[in-house]
Amino acid sequence: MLFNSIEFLIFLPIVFCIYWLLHRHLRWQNAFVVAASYLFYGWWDWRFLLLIAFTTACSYASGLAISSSQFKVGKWELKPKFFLWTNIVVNLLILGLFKYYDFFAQSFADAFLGGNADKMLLHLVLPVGISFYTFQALSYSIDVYRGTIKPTRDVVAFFAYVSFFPQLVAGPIERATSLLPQFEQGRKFDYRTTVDGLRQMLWGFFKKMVVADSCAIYVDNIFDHPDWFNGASLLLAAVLFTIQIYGDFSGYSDIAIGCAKLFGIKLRRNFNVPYFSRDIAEFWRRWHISLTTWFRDYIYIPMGGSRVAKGRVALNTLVIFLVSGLWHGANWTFVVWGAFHALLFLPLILAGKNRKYRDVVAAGRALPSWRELGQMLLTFFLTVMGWILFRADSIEEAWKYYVHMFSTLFEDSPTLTSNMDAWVVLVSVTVMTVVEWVNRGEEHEFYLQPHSRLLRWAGYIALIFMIGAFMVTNEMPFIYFQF
Amino acid sequence: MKRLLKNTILFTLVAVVAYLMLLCLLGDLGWVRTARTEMKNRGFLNTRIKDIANYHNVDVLFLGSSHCYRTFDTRFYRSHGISCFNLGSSNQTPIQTYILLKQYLDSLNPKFVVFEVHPDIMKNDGIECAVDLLMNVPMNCEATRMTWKTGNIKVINTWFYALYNQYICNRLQHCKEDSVMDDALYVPGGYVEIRRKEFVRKNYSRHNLTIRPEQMEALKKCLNLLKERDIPYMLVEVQDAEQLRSAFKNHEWFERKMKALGPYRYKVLPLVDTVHFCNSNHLFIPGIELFNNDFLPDLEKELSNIEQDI
Repeated sequence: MLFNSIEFLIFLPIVFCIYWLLHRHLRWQNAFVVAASYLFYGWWDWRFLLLIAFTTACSYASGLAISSSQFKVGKWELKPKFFLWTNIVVNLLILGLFKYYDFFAQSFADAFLGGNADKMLLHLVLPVGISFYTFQALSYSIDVYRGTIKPTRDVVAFFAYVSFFPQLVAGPIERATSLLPQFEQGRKFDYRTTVDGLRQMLWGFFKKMVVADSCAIYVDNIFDHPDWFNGASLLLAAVLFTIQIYGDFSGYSDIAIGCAKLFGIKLRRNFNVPYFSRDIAEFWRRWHISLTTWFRDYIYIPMGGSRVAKGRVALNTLVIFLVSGLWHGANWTFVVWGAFHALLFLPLILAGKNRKYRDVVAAGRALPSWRELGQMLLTFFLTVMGWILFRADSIEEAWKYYVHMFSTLFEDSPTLTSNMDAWVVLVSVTVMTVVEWVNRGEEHEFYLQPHSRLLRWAGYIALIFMIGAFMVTNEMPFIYFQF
Repeated sequence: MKRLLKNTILFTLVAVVAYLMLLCLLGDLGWVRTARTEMKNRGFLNTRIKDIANYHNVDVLFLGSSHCYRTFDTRFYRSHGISCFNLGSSNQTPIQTYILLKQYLDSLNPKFVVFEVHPDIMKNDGIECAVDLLMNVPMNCEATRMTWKTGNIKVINTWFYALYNQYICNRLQHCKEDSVMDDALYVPGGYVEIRRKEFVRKNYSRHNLTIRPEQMEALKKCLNLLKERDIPYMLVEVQDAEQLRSAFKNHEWFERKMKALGPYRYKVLPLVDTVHFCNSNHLFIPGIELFNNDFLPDLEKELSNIEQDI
C-alpha cells in the first residue's frame, strides 16, 4: 500500500481507531499492529510476508540463543558468536539472493563469459523494503550480542518492532534499543503528539506529491533523452533531481515519523535539512541519518573507525561509502556514486575537519553569512554532480550526461516543459526551502507548535490546497521503495 | 481523544470551505493544475451540446471519441439523405458515452446508432473526457456518480469548479465557442474538420491490446440502453495509420471481444499513411472521404432494414 493512495487514506483512520480502542490490552494492541502492518505490506504482494516473517523469526530466535549462556548440540558447545553470525549470514543471503544475485551474475558474465548470462540469471522480484527491514532485524541481534540490549521474550512485540508499517518499506531504520522498549511498554494517547504527527505527515505529503512529483515530470523527460536537450536543461534536470530525491525520501520519512506519532511511537529523525550543509561531512550527518549511523555503528567503528592510522581511516571510509552505495541498488552507478562521495569526504576526515560543522547553519540569525551561503551552494553543487550518477541507468549514460551537459552548458537557456509545471516547481520549491530554513533548528521542518491557531490552520489549509490543486495525478511510487 | 475529534471536525469544515473558495478563485485565473477550468477546446463539446437542440428524431447517431467526430462527416451523410448527429467528444470512453446517452438519447431519438470503438479508448482511464464533459454538459446525477466513482482528484476538483461555473457564475449557458479554432472547423451536426495535416513518422513498439474492465462494463451498459429502446446499433472501428496498426500484437483478440457484443465493422482500406492520415490515429480529409464512401452502403443497408421492419 502506498502512503499516497486512496487505500491508505481509508486504512489509517480505521487502524488508528482500533489501535486506541485496544490501549488497555498491550499484547492485543501489539498483535493488532502486526496484523495491520502485514495487511499494509501484503497489499503489494502477500507472498513476501513469509520472507518478513522468516527474517523476524530468525532474528528473534538468534537473540534468545545469543543470550543463553550454554547451548550444546551433542558434544559441541555453540557460542553466542555462532548464533550471531548464523543470523547475519542467513539474512544477508536472503538479501543477496533477491537484490544482488542477478547483478553479480551479470557482472561476472560481462567480465568472463562475453556478457551471456541468460542461464545464470534468476530474475527474482525485489521485495519492497527488504534492505530496510533486514538491517533493522540485524541490528537487534548485533545489539544483543554486544550486550547493549537484553533479548526480548515478547515475540509479538518483536514482530511489531520489525514490521511496524509506517517505517516498514523505506525506513527510518530503527534500532531495537529505542523502538523495541516502546512496544514492550504501554502507550498513552497524547493530543499534542497526535496533532504534531498529523502536521508532519502533511508536510511529508506536500514534499512528495507536489515538490518531488512535479520535479519528476521534468527530470524523467530529460534523463530519458539527454541528447535532445542543451547543457542548461541537463543541469536544471540534475538540480531538480536533487530536489526530487530529497522531497521524495524525506517526504516519506516525515509521513512515516508523523504516522508513528499517531500511535504513540517515536521514530528517529532521518533527514535534518541536508541541503543547508556547509560541507560534505555535514551533509552526511544530515542525509538518511538512520542508514549512515547504522553503517557507522555496525561496520565503520568495528573496523577501527577513525582511531587508527590515516591509511586505514581512508580505507575504512572508502569501504563504508562503497557499501552504502551498493546498499542503494544493484548497479555500478550506485557504487561509483559512493566512491564519488568518499573522494569528497576523505580530505575532510584526513585533515580532521569532518566534525567542523555540528551545529545548525546561521544559528540565531535569520540569514546566513555570504561565506555560509557560498559553502552551502558549493556543497549543494557537489551533491548535484553526484546525483547524476545515482539517477543514470549506467556509468556510460552518466558519463555521456556529464560530457553533453558541460560541453553545451552555455549554448542556450533551459527548455521548459510547460508554464504550469514550471510555476508549480518554482512555487513549491520556494515554499519548501523557506519553511525548512525557518524551522531548521526545530524537531522537524513543519514545526508550528508555538504559533497561534490562526497561523497554524492557515498553514495547514495552504498545504492541503497546494496538494489538492498542484499534485501530480499519476500515482508515483516513492524512489526508495526500489532499495 | 474527544478534543482531537472536536478539532478534526471543526478543521475539516473550515478547510473544505477554504479549499473550495481557493479552488474557484485560482481556477478562474487558470492556476489550478488538477482541474479543468476552461470550457472551450478543439473538441467543440460545448458547441455540440448546444447544437443538440436543433436535432430530433435523427436517422443515425454517431458516438465515440475524436475518431468519431473527426471521421463521420455529417455533411456527407446529409447530402445522401441521412439525417444524423455526431455526439463524439475528445477521448470519449464508454463511461462518458453512457452519461451522454442517458441525457440526450430521448431527444435525439435515433433510428440507428454507430458506436465507434477503438483499442486505445477501451484501455483509457477516461479522465480527460470526464473533465471535458463536466465543464461542458449541464450537471446531472450520472456525471456526479461518475465523478465520485473515479476517485481522481482532477475529476473531483473539476466537478466542484463546474458546479460553481454553472450555478453561481452561470457561464455554461453564456459560453460561445467560435466555429473555427486553430485548424479545426465545427460543422453543424457535430462533425469537426481538421484542415492541417500533422503526420509524423514514428516507431511504435509492438504491444498487446488490453481493455479496462470498467470500460467494457460501461460499453455493455450503453448497448443495453439501446437494446431497451429497440435501437439497432453497429460497433465500428476506424482504421489507424499502418505505422500504429502494425504495432498491435493481438488485434484479432480485440475484434473477437467486440464481435461478442454485437455487429462489428472493421475494414482496412488501402490507405497511405502520409496521404490519408492527419496523424497516426486520425484520418485526414482524403482518407475521411474514402472511409465514408465505403461506409455509406453499409449504413444505407442498415437503415433500409429498419424501414422494412417498420
